[in-house]
Amino acid sequence: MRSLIEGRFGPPCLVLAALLVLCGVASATRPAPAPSAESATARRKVPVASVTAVCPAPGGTTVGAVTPPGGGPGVATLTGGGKTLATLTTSGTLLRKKVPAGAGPLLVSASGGMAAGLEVAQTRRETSGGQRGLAGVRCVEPAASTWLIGPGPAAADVTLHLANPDLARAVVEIMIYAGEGPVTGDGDVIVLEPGESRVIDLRERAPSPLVMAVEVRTAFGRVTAAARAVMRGGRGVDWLPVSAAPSTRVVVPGVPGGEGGRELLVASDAEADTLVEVRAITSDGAYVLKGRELVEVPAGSVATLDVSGGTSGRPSAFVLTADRPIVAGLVVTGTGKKKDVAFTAGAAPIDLGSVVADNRTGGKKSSRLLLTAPQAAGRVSVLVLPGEGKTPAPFEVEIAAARTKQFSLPKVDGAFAVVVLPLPGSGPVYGGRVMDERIKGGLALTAQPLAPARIWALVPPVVESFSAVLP
Amino acid sequence: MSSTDSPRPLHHTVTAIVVSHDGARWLGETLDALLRQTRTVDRVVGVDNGSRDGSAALLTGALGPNAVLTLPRSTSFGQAVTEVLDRLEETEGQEWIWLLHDDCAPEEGALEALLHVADRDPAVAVLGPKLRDWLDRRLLLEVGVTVDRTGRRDTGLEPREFDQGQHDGVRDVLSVSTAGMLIRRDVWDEVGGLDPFLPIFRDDLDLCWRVRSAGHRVYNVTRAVARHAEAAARRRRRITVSGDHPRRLDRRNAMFVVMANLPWRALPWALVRNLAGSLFRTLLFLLAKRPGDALDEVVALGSILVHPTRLIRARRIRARSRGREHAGTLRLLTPPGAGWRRLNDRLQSHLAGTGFVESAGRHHAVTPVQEDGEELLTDAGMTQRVLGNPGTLLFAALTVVTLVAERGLWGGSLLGGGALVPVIGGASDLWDLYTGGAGQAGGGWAPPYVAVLAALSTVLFGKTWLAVSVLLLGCVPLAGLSAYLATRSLVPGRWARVWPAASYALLPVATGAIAAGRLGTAVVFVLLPAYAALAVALLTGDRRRARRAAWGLGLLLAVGTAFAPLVYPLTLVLGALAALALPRRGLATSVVIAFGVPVALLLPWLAQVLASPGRLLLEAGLHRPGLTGAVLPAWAPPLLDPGGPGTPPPWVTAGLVGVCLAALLMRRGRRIVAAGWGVALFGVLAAVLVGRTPVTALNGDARAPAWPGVPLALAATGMLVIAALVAGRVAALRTAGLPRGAAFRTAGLPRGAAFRAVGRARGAAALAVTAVALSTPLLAAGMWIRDGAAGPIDGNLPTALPALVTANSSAGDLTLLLRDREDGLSFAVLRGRTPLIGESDVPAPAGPRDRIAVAAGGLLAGRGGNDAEVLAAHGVRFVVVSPPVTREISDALDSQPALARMSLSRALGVWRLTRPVSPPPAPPADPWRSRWLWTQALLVSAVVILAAPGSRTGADGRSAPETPEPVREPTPR
Repeated sequence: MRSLIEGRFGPPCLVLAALLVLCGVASATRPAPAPSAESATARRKVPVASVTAVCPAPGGTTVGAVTPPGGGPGVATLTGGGKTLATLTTSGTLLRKKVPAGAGPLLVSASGGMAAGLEVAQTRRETSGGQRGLAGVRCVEPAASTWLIGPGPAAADVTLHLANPDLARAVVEIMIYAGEGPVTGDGDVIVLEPGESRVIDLRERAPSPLVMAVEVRTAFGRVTAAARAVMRGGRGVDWLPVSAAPSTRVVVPGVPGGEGGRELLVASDAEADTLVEVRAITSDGAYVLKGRELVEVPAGSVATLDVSGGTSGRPSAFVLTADRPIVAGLVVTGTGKKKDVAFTAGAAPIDLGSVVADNRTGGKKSSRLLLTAPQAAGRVSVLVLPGEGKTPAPFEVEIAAARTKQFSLPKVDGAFAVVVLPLPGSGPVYGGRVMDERIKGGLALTAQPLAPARIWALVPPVVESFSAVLP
Repeated sequence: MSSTDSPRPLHHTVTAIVVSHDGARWLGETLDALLRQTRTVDRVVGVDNGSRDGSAALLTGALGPNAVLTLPRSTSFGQAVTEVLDRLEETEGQEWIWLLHDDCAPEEGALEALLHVADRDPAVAVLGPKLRDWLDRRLLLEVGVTVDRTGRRDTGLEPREFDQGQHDGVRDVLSVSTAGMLIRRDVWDEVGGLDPFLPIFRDDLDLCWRVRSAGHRVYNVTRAVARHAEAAARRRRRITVSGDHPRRLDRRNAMFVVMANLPWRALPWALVRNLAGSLFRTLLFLLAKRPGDALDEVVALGSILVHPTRLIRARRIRARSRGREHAGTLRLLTPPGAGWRRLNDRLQSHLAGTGFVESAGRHHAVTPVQEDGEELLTDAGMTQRVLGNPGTLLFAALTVVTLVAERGLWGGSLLGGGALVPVIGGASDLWDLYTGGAGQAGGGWAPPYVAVLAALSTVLFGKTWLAVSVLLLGCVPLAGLSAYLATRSLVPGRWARVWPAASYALLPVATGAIAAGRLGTAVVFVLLPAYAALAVALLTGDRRRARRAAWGLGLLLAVGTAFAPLVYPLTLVLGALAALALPRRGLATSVVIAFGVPVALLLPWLAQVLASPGRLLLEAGLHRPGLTGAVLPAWAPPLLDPGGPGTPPPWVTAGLVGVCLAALLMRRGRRIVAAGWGVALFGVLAAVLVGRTPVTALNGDARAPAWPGVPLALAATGMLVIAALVAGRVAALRTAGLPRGAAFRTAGLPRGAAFRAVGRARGAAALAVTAVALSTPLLAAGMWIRDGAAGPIDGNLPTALPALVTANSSAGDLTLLLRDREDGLSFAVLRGRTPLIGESDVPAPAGPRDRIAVAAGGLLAGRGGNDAEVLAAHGVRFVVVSPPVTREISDALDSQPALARMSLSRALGVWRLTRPVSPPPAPPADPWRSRWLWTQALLVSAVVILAAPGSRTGADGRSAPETPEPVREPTPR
């Protein structure tokens, strides 16, 4: 030992050995690769605790409100004109309320367990007159930006219903995109005081468009926006559903099968022209429409594509991909001597489930769900919630990959609500609900894309860190 | 006179002693004059006090190598003479010592004239020549000097008085200058020579006074003439015998000499005069806007008054002879009225607008005044001295490298990034934060490094960014300087220290710390060489030096620990090992002092850190996963590579490590090499362990391995010591022409035959070592300059808090700042500004933090509920989303009825709570807090005083540890 330390080459060997040992220790303690970022950013599902929605024009309609079963105690209140019209305290049952004609917007607010998945819809059924047909619309929550796409004031009387249910003032801008390009209005903004609502005839702003996309956006505050289109010449009436926000990939679900016109509307607010690729996903498979593979959407305008014969009368959905964000909707025209019209629009997948509040079957009425699984196969459970009586057991529906599946909702006395929940392992599922009724003179129908239910909120993990001040 | 009148002339022998110190410019002429004397001297000894300008060679050339003594730079004139006399035996007959400065050239008859007077009067013990100016030989400098009772020097001459013989004659004077002084050796021994307490200024006066008190005579002989350049007094060369300011030293010595030599009954009056005079002079200096001079005056007076024992001791030594002759001595002092007359003169000349007439002469410290011809003489002055210093050059070169490498960081608006929060605020904000006045929500103690930064910012005009820039961005040149200074005790050569210092300064730890904004590591990196130097002083110095070094080490260790706590346990282990391995009297106490001081100074905060031991591995600033390398490679720690951004490839540092390994082959300095490698291996081991230990950040927001910068800096310090040793050996080898004692001795070759081969082999080895060694600093600097100090740190950060919020928020309003990154969402609660540096190291109380985290998550999920109420209850008025503002987040926040949008774009989203906000009440102030802060301030001052270098007393100075070259025994010529 002594000679090792005092020898000439002893110390270098000792130090080298020590360094090698240290390297060995370092490589032995080399940690496993860090766990994937998935666990770090995994979101927590928590029930939604508070919901406010506005039914734009409930006068003369039936309003249905429902919260899926399973929520805790809570209360949902329907308020119109400063009066409480009804309250709902039990989840899993549908509240139906006929609202007298001429009533103003209906405010629905829920908290606690009744807020988790609260869904409200208004449906109006007229068998004659200028408003003949079925016209239904979801009562939506206020938002900072709402896209609506459908016929323009040259083809229909389009009224825009705005309401501000919040406690803060809302400053609203309305952007209109027509087939010829963006409509430059007088540029004034609309100020909505808290609780104020307003109905705007879009003809005053843009009289000429045949088709249009409307973005209602707020500089401050939030508003609810809904638009009703009454087609010229008695060709039907319906509300425009809220379309998914601009995106480079849009799925327009819930296109009913059968006869009648189907017109696809694609709008872009981009500053350059965009080419949109259109694929149809029908019950028989997915394919590109022959001769209608591409739609060119000029910058800031709306393009139309007649897809009436493209699906051979099969229930379908359309998948649109573009290189710039687009908004899409579809006009469905019914059959018969007196026609009715229905609208559907681009929608989000129902990953967290979806609720349709107001469905009717029986007699000449029928309601159908059209579910589309554009990528992987989907599997959902469907629960029917009748207004009164026992709740039947839920049933499962499987959707093959790249197919649209249509199925009729069971016959139930009176109106009922439907809860669609994707089952574990399911691919993304898009859906729509079509409700029609054979009335004298022709088929009356209404449609709506399935909106993601507000049952759950996904809470991201948030940590306190002063690194937030650094880019 | 004839020789028959006088007593039989004694046989005189004269020993001339020439003391040189950076005086090559005059020395040649001085030596010529000495050797041309009409009465030749009997013996000559030259002393060189560590000259750096070739004076030693001049002396050796003129006097021969055996008659020259080489002493350290810090030796004073008196010590040099004493050293010579200690080595010279006395001669027969009457021996005289002729003291000559290197800048004092006697005329050829000088010695003869002096001895002639000495022959005539046996009572005379000290003789001095008439001193004239070196350049202008007509100017009189001194014909004997006296002093007044306040210590004021008086030559009795007018300034720039021409010598026309008006003062000629042999005159009894109080004192003569040591330049050309001829003194009897027995008298020198009797009075004890020059007082070592007076290394410069008034030493001559004191000596002559004592000689007179002993009953001898001091004569000025004007027939003997010498020319004197007064180089030290005119600051043509640096005064190295004392670190004190010359003016301060001058005043101190003046008062000391007067008070030490006056008889008892004259002392009180002199004391009062000095006290009043000093205060009056201080006042005048202050009025004249010369605070530096005022400070010198006060400090000089203070240093006399606070050390009464020193004065009493000096008086006791002089007591034996004092009083016997003092009537005659007092007669020679400047008369008491002279002071008033001088004041009167000064007032008159001031009123008349003419210059003041000064008769103090110049051989004391004066405010430098440029005189005719003087600018010609300043070539060896301050500028050259500073510019020629390798340390200065190293610092300048590293500064240039740093400035170029950090080109992207300068001139921006906001410095920050990595571990460093954007640097905002000023010194007062930091003081507020440290003293708890900023109203931070938590009851936690602000980290003490905030106080250090605040103090530094206060000095730097209150600019925190400047302080942070100096410490962080300037850590490379600072580390180079500290490494250069720290290796002083190891390597004698100044140029040899440049390489190890540069290698150390440019290590990956430094560049990595800069790139990642790690202020803590940067500070510790600068301090570690200082620790090493102080530790050496603590282990090897004498008792007083060791104790002083212990206090200093404790103070610096406290600073380092405040910035990066890990440095404390690491050094503690080494300190304990050193104390165990080297049993030495008083060492244990010193070690306890060094490691007790940080604990005492940092107490409450340190307890907080120890409560969660993981924090020991963290440092000042944020702990973020992205700042450490993904996984530290196994080979990185031995190559001193800590991983993470800003570190060069591993082969850059291979040269340094290789040279340190090669150093193990050296025969000399094996203990130092072993100690260095011990420290290095310990640091590498610690780095491996630290780099593999995942640590949770202070607020639990991140978990990542700690960055092994501090342990690797420690390892690098160990290698620095070895490298310095190698550099010293290689330098010695190259200059000494490689004969005996080469660093790498090749064993086994027969001596005579292979001597030249061995020499060549050694030369080649030295060359190879030099080449390998130089690769590290050059490559590191090159890579750094090429890549730039890129990394998370950015000199031009956008402010996280938009003006919209700062303009609209009132006092106490909080802002919730959200940011979405790949690794998750994070938030910070801000109080009208982004956090101050150090604020992020105050732990936030867990309760409110968790509640706000839940509420923020709920807001982002858009679940409704009472999230906004929770925020309002905690005082949050604004919610700000930093870029990138995703649609998902903006939609979620828009869907909150309780939030109203104020601004939204892709780059920024601002929301405001619509409900009234109730800020939480401030926690009650902790009464112990301010008490502790005062205690802490007192402790710091006490430690600073204990650590401050004291005066160089005789015992201290004579046994100065640095004896760079062996002292050879001089043999008289």
